[in-house]
Amino acid sequence: MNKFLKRMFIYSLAVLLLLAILMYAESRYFNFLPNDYSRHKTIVETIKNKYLSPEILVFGDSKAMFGVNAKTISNNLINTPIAFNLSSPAQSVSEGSYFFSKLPASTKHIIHCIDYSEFSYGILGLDKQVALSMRFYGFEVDPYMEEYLDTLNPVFFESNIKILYEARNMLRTAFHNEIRKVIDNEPLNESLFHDIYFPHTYTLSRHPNYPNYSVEFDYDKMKISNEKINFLLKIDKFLQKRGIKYHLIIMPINPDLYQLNNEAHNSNMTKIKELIPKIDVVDLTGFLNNQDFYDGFHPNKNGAEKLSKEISKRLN
Amino acid sequence: MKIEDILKQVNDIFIDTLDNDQVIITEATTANDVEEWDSLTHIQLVVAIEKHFKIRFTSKEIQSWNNVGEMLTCIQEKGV
Amino acid sequence: MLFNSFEFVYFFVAFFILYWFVTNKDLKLQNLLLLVAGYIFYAWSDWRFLSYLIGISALNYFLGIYIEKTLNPKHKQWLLYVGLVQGIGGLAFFKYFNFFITSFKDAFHLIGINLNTLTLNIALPLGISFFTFRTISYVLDVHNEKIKATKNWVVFFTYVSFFPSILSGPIDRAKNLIPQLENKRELDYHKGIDGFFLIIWGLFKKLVIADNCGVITNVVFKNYLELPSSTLILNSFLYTIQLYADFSGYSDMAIGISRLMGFSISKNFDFPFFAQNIAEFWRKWHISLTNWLTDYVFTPLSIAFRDYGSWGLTAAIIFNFTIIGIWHGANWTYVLFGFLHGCYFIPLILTGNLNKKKKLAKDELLPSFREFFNMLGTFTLFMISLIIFRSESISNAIEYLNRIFSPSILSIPKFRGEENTTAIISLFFIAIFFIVEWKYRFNDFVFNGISKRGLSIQIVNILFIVLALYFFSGSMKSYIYFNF
Repeated sequence: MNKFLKRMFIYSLAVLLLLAILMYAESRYFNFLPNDYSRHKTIVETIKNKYLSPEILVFGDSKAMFGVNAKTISNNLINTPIAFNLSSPAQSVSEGSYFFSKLPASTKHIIHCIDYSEFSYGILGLDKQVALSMRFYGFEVDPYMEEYLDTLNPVFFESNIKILYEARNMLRTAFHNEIRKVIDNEPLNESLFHDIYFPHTYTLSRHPNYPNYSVEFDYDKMKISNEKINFLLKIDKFLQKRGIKYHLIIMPINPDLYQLNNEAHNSNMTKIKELIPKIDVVDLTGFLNNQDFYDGFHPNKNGAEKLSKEISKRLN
Repeated sequence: MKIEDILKQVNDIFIDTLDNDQVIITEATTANDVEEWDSLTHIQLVVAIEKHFKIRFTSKEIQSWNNVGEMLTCIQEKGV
Repeated sequence: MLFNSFEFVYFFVAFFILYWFVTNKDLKLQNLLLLVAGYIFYAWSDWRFLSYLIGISALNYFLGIYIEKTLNPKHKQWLLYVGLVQGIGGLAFFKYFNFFITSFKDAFHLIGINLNTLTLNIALPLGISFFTFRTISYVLDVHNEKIKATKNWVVFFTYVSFFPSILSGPIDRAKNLIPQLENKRELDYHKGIDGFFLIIWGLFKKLVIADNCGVITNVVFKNYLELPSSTLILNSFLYTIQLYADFSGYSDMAIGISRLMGFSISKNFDFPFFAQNIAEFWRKWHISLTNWLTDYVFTPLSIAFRDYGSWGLTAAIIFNFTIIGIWHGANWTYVLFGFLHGCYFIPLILTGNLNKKKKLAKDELLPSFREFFNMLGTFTLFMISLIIFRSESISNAIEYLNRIFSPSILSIPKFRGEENTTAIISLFFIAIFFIVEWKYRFNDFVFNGISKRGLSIQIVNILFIVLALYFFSGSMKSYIYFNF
């Protein structure tokens, strides 16, 4: 028995030593691993950078990545104010809002690009992997966020060891990133992934398997969520206190994917504008035609230029 | 018939049925000791033994044997 | 409680300390601890049926004693029947009543009447297929005078609910387990260390191989209509490996945990994918179940049919394997699975090849071409049967099989998104897995005997396994055979 226990003790030491080494390696090297969330590193660094003084910041998910050219917005405004596109893949409204308490002092406008369906559901929590990578890239929560966010993701409050343990999946997602480049038949320009003006990684004007998506959401039957409205009001109040104007851009819907019913849509928009009168809501759902889309969801270069010009018009 | 004679004849049956001339059985031998002797070949052995000695076992007898010795005693009791 | 959960680790560590350091001087007390721990373990997973488990343990305990005590053979017979009816009846009720109700409902639906099924569904007691077989084999063995009835109720109740194997096997016999329960246990150093390696190797099989494959197979079996033939073939391959890794992994852990308690319970797998024909395969797959059915179903049947030569043997085998199929669950897919395997034996029976047993590549590094093709053929037969086994219905299975025989068989297999990465990770570890199993194919278990080798070798192996577990565990939760 003693011999057995002794041996098990030695094994445990060896395993603990290995785990310590692994976790150390994770803390040093994991934020260099390529993955879908590495754009958070870019966003965090851009916001923290004291030498940059942007006036306009764009947030949103991949539709904004592909569909908004910050330079075009800039060029179409008097005095060409500096504009950055800080959208990232699958960035929800609440995820974008995490950055709002850390904005550079020069910020005057937030352009939040959302899908029309956003109005129908409440506040989505951060995905665990997203929260983990944000934490890995040096993002820290602060009490100001609680003015508009009721709950902050628990990942930001967990011990370092737990975070390192959870982060072990990053090796796998990095591996996945590399494999995807070999397997997918979609030609991409990965270098633009970290661009802060116009991070569009597609190289064609149409996806090889257009439309490559099908819509699962019934926009016409949409009901407006009070939780979401309250959230937007809180964000607006928070930004106004700091002299920042909040613009909600409702991104275009590809008519090949879904044809909005005018009556239902108008009625919803009226309701929304009644509920959040102080927020600049820009309804661009019908702004682009199907030639302006790369695939079912994302605008192509043409569409992006049109969209960006229209956004700059609304900022004047 | 004496047990030793029955044993010799049954051993030949084993060699023949299991297709292995290296098989040697004693009264203590069980299925665990002979690699080819399992549930599938067991029934073939039983049928071969019944044919050879022109006897008939009951189901209960067959399932009661725990080793070759008990099998041989059962055969002897049939009056061969 | 899953073996791969923190709850189980805490539970087992506490149990281990109490078992070896507090109660080991007193066998009665130690057995009582084992019994109570077993009930806690079972109740944690499914408290609703704890009383059923205790109830049938009590019933069969008394049956065993009275069957032995009674001199009247007719009474013995009747008592035996009570045990059999209770066991089989319980199984039939909990497992198959639901199936009958659903078929009933479907039949009525066809003529336009809708029945409310909420009130008719019955929950399945966890482990029922396993512990019921233990009670049935016990009453049969006592009746046939293969073993003596046990008078010690703690021992008997523990035999029925032995916690390492209650949820998913191996199905031990009273002959093997009860004597061990009645005697003092020792923690043999070598058995203990080898047992520990069994546990971590089982964890590796379950978490790294089975769970990664499972991520893919679950999706593909739902969406097979949209996928090309080559993907479906790869998916079947992965599912076959998944089933083996999941179930043998669990069995390994159960056996390893028993070793740490000083018990030797029966082996359940013997590298089945190295079998060269279907007969050999079933001697190596789910051994405890096959042995059980062989002893209590096949042998009496084959004896009864022995006058009908090959056809008698065929009938016995087909019946036997159909039962194995049904045992898995209440779906025609399982019945067909079993029946198909019975049919697979027919060529072997007719050509008289049932008895051929040769050691595989005994002194060679690699198998011969013939051996390799035999193994591949046997594997393929099994893989095809698993498509039926896994499908929701027979028509789904047929659709799946049809889709395989189409021109898209030549396309490169591809999954969606992250599943491709999971597939590559799975295939990598499956390759390692096969190499390791092949190397140690003559051992009882892959790591048997590692306790005799140097400390550095042991540690290197542990660290590799931990490394794989740490970075590459898949994300499934329960074990497949819990549902059976």
